[in-house]
Amino acid sequence: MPGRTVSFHPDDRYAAFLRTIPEAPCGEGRLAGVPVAVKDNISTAGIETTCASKILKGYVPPYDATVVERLKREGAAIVGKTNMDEFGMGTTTENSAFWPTLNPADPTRVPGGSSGGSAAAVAAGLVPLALGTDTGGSIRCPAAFCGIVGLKPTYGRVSRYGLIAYANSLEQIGPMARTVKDASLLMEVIAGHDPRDSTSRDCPYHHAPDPEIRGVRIGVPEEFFGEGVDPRVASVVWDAISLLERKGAEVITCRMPSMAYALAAYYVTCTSEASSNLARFDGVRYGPPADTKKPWHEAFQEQRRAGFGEEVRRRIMLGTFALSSGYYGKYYAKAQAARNNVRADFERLFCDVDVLAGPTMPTVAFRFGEKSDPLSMYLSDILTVPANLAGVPAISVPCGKVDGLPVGLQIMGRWMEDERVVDVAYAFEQGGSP
Amino acid sequence: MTVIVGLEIHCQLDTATKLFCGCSTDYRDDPPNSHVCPVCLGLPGSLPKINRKAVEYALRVAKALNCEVPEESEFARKNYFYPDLDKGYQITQYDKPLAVCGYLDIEGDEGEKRVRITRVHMEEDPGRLVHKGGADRPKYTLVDYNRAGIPLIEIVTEPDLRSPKEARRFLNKLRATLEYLGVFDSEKEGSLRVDANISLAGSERVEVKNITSYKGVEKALTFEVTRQKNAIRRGQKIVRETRHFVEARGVTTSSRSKEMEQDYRYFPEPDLRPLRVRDWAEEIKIPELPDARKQRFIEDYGVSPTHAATLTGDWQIAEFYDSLPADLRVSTATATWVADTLLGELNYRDMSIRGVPLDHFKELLLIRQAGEITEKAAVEVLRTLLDQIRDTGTCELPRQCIGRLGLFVIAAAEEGADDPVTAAARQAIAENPQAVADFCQGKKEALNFLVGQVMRKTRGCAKPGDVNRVLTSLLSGDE
Amino acid sequence: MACTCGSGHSPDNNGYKKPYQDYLSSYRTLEPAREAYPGMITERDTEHIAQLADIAIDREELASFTSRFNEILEYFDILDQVEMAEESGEKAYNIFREDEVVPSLSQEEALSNTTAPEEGFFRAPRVM
Repeated sequence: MPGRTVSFHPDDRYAAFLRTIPEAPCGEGRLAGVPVAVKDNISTAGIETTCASKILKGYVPPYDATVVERLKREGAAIVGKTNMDEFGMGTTTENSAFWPTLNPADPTRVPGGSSGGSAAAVAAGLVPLALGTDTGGSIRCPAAFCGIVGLKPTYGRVSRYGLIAYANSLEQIGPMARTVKDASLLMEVIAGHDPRDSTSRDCPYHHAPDPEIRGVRIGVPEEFFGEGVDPRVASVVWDAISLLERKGAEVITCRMPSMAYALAAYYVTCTSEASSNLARFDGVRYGPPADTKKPWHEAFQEQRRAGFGEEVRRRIMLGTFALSSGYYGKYYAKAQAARNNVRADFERLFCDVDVLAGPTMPTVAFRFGEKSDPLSMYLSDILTVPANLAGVPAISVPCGKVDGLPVGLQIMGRWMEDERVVDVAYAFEQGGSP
Repeated sequence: MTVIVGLEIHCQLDTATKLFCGCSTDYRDDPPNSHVCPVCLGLPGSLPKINRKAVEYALRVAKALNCEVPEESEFARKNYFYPDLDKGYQITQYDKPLAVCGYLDIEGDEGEKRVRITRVHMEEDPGRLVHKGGADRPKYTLVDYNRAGIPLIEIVTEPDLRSPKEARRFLNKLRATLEYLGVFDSEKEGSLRVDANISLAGSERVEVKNITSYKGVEKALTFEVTRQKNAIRRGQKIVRETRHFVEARGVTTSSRSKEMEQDYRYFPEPDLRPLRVRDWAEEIKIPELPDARKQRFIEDYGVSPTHAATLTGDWQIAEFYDSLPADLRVSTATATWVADTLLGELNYRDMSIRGVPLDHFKELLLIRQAGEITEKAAVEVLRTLLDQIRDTGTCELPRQCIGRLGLFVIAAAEEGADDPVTAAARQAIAENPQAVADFCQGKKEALNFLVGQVMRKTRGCAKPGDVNRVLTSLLSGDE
Repeated sequence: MACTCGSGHSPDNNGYKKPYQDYLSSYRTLEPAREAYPGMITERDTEHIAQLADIAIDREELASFTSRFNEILEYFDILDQVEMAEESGEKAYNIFREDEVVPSLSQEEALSNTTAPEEGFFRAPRVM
């Protein structure tokens, strides 16, 4: 029905949105009139899209990302763009160039990141559905911290066309919702082949979550309960796994040796790709204009110094170093080898088990400013990056609380078996005995 | 001193769309930034997708250059900053090029020569810069991304060339080959760019960039040879550097070495999937290439090797020649006429065979062959038509031109009739009593003089045989 | 087909490094770090990296950036233990589009995100 709109005037007390659309157009379809929040690194035609960076302030894409087209085709109302760590680089959403987002579960704590705005918008009940993006945990981490469901799909299952690239080979757009069913519905809408994305696979997702998990073999890698994992979080997650066992799943402990270097491989890869992806921000074609009175090199340097936040500059420079002459072999090439080992570890484990389970995050949500040095922040991604390195699906589903703060159970599945991780999460969510 | 030259040639592939998006490549007459989309403008979130035709064209080239096609090749990002780069990197190929280890045979300084091809790879063209401002105003740059994303192939030769002339011969042969393959239009502005590495044996090599024409290559290299020889003679050392060719002045200038040492930080393009095209390459059929065609012209049409080389050195001329009627093709006069007269006249006017209505010239050849005009008149018509094309872009039909200039052959009638040739002969005899007297005294050369006079009066349209016959008959009548 | 331009330099190469080999030497092999960055990177190295990344860096920031880099790079050293592995996983090849023209953006749309276009061009800093 042309001309229909959804009025959207949320009480955004957690600062989840960077901008909202007060009268958002919507249509007919499976999501007719459903308000959906979209992370600000996903291109929306006619709506400013900044990646929460000053360098894209004022940028209005002339085109929609494929996932946005798909949302519109199903009648959804794009009601706002959500806050995030600048370009997705962070685990807390504190790296937004504009403002931090608060965790609705405890406003003195971060919502996680980088899709912190999407998670907070859903957790606060402002929208039922949101799109996040997950490069190394950016959907699952805030889902866990805010107590909602977040799915990182299999790499290639959801089109990246229109997603402003941070690390192309790792990231996927995925659904965030309060329930597994809602997340699954949103996944149905956004998944599917896109001829514009060469890495997209022709593997649509049509699935009604099924809580029957009798006989499903669940592997639990010891490394997911290793050093750095809060014992209270571990305990809650073990309880969750036990529940799955009671529902008929078989639980098998296993090992994943490549976890030793997965995080390093992840950070080398994502910073390398980012250093190249973010080279286009020079103030010539979009964003605040570069100073054309200066020589180009000087103008670009100043533009990028002023436009990027500290963490973004750090990652661009790290990636630049990792790719530079004489270091490619030590860093980038080794990281790709490590990545192959991670993939091989998953393949090996998936011969004996159907899914892997563990905590999504080693801890509950941090206090603001708690992770002040970058390396300790990076280390908190240790449990989420393996799925990105291997390109396999992973979901975070709320599984309990520690000190009143949500804890996420992470289920990882075989390549292209997003349906199965959804089912296991759904089974857990349904709770109780079989 | 041995001159050692290696070339890196960038050619635009003549596809309908760009290498990684569906924007049209036909931008030359259009306003700036009117052939761009999120992909070739490098808008955030856009993704490239490989044009199948561009790969096919590049494989044709690889095949024609006798290259090996590795099992797997891939695109990589070459990272550097410059305002003409829309993404801050260029998508190109690096350690896994499309094709490697080929060769092209050329007519070298010392006979047939094989020039080895190191590699053939694909990449995208950057945008175009226009420099503004000047002495009184701050300088800045304007950028047009219509060209950004045009598919290029880069062909890299081994340092096998030994003179500027050889380098030019190589380029001419390469151009002809690319045109035979139907993948390249040399007439399009900026469709070919060459970087040349040149050294004198025992010295450092110098890279000359920014050569944008075929003649430019020979000019730039000749300048460099002289410059380097002079420097060595003066006891200076040749420094390894990059120089730019300034076409207008025919010189190369040192580019400021102040610019940072380049470190392109190549890595595989994560937005694209690798290519496995070896089997496809096997299946691709390539048309008859210049060497084969030259051989066929010699064998089937009896054309001399020199003429055959000229006639097949340009695809369009070879096509023209092949389209002529069989009896014309086998005539030496036709080969001479096309290879020497037509091409000579074009060259003289700095015109190219393109944009010339070849059907007109075919007709002119047929008229000449039928004896309706003389050789001399044919050349005059050709010149007239070419001048018209040069000045106005079009020309008259040959018959119209011949008629207008009154150049159709004037036939002399039978004995004693009053026709223009006979009239002219009478006039010539009347005006040149001395010559007539000489002739009567047996000086046969005097007849030639009189024939010349008659030809002049008939503006070359009389047949020399007729003139001879009429004069002889008139003069013997006078005796 | 025999490959004549492989690894061996022919005698008349005259010091040319073949482009192909140039690439390979810096790309494919896992050579140890250069002397320029012996284990730890220095503030000068950080400046050089910033130059390559085209990001200005303030004097005050140099020290903190450099020490952070060294912490992180030290952590990355764990990658030294990784053996080169066979590539695994599902891989797709030859993903092409057909050579069919699709409409471009209008010039107005193309320039819509720039503040001071001039005669249909983007405006950039000077390069001469």
